[in-house]
Amino acid sequence: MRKKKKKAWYKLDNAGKLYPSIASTRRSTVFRLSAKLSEDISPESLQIALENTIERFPYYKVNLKKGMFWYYFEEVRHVPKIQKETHYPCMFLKFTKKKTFPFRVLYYKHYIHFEISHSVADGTGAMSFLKTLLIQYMKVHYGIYCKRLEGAKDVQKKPHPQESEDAFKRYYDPSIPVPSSNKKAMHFPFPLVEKGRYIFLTGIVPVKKLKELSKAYSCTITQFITALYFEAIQDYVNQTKTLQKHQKDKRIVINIPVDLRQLFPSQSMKNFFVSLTPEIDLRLGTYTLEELIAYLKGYMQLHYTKKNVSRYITRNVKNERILFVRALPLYFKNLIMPYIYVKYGEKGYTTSVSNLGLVRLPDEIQPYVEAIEFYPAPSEVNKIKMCLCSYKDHCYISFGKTINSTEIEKIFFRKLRKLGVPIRIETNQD
Amino acid sequence: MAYCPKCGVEVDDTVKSCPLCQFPIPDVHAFDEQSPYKKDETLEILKKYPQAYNIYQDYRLKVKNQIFFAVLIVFVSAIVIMSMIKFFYPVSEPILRVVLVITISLVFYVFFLFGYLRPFLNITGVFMTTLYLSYALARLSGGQAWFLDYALPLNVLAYISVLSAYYMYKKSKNKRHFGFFPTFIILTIAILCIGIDAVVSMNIHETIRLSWSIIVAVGCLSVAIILRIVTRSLTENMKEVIRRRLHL
Repeated sequence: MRKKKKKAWYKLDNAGKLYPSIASTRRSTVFRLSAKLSEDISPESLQIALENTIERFPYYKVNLKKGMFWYYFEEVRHVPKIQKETHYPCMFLKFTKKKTFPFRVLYYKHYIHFEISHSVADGTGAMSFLKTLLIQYMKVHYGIYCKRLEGAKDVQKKPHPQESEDAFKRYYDPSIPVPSSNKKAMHFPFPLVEKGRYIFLTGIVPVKKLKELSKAYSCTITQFITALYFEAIQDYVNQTKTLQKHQKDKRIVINIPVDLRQLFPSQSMKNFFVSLTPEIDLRLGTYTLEELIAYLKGYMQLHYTKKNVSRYITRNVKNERILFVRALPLYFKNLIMPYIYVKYGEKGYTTSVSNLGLVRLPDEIQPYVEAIEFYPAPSEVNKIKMCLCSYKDHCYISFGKTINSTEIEKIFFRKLRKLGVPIRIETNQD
Repeated sequence: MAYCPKCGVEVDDTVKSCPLCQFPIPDVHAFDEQSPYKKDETLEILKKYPQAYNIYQDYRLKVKNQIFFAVLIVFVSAIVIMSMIKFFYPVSEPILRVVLVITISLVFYVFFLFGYLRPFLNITGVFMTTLYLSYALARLSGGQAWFLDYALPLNVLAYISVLSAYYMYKKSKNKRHFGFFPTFIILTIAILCIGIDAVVSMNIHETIRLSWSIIVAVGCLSVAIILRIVTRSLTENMKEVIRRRLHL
């Protein structure tokens, strides 16, 4: 009798370990990458493209399983199916269920959406998957072959062993001191929308104009946008009379996830990022845009260094290796983790800004892909989050929010408009 | 292309108001009269996002069904086991009958309390089940007078109180006000206590003599008034915290 081939299994990476325990119907931990094509999507071609792509990413072709102490991913033999988009974006994935993948590929009119749980990958890994999927779709649907892959993976080649590595462990040095933990930050008082709803609001702006402005202020686009976002929140706090004093006295903290692959070479397609948290304290007075930009430039120069970032890596891995944490059965971890995550994670920052940077696609498929967008995962504590990415001539500044209020975005985009930047707004809000 | 005159941003041709400031956007969409599509269809084609439905409701219903069927299996198994014991080993038959009646009633209680039907039918279902339970228990204990003197009037009273509280809450303009619901519950308890006191005194003294229920009613009324005053004076932030903590 032939023996059944044993299924491969993968440990969750250091950052990913947290996410299945904290995931809920509201805090799905699922983020989205979208590609707008020049024509309506062909479901048949997309399904074939997905089948070709997923084999190149075996560490995503998995099902989450419960171990005694930690979750782990187990290889699955069946193939994922594409779905037509019908529900709100970034909805919860019950990926502990059999035959459920930790991601979904959706299509609607001209759009292909790739939604993936943070337990499997970060923005860089997800973008690599989307690029590979797009290349495969173009190959199946139009017969286009790409010479240069621009960050996508070659489906003919076997995955490199380093792609499924936990890069945090590789660069962990126990002798490095850990950074101090965050204090409580100011949070927006807006009422939440009902469960199961998630609202996107995207501002599409010309990259050229943003580059000009950033150059004028001698900073990067991320620093410029973050400074403007700080200023918008500051304006909101100053002009809102109903905001309570204890809220006004708290610091405004923006969480900026930074990709570690640029500082620590790694081919990992799993999570490999840490969050930096620049902050302003309005008790010190009102900040001008110039002051905010100067602060952010200094902050990033000081904090986004190999030496400083390795402190965060050490902290993350050390926390995972605490004997009590390791010995605690998974059931109890699932009970405690959401509380710890909110108290020491989400409560420590007001909102977040995540920039995927300039997205490049192979020249052959660029005419067929009109836009690439990036959306954050929903959260009930950090009610508004911002994600941005640039593609071709446009920058897509997307807000993902669990509130109906548009106050913050209104102030932000009006500021950008006053600086002479033309903006196009798109939203799924009714 | 449509623009918001207040924000200065370009918006979708399909929107009726600015997504940022809700300022009304004039209908500038150049609808082509020669187009094979109707205007609504054209607007639908231009939409970036589908008319999304909320999958949380489906998920909630699924979990509710799973819990209901798990509970149902436990109760049905208990009924089958008890019937078998009654058939093969009829030692303590009166106790078994009582347990059987209670278990059957529990199945119906669980069904109605899970809210599968309309609220009126669920409330009526709970009332009918309670009537059946009280009648069956009274009959098994050989005291049918107890059912007629106490159980029937008290059940009817409870049914009318709950039903009227529900309809008052439903009709009330302030139904979204989270302090309104506890106020109704407290007032319903007050009325119910007066009714219970009246039924008990009617059976003992053959006349209505209210005693303890007046104290309860005054207490409830005071609590309801305090609750209304407190909820009215709460700030929006505090209300939001209570709403979130109590899942209101």
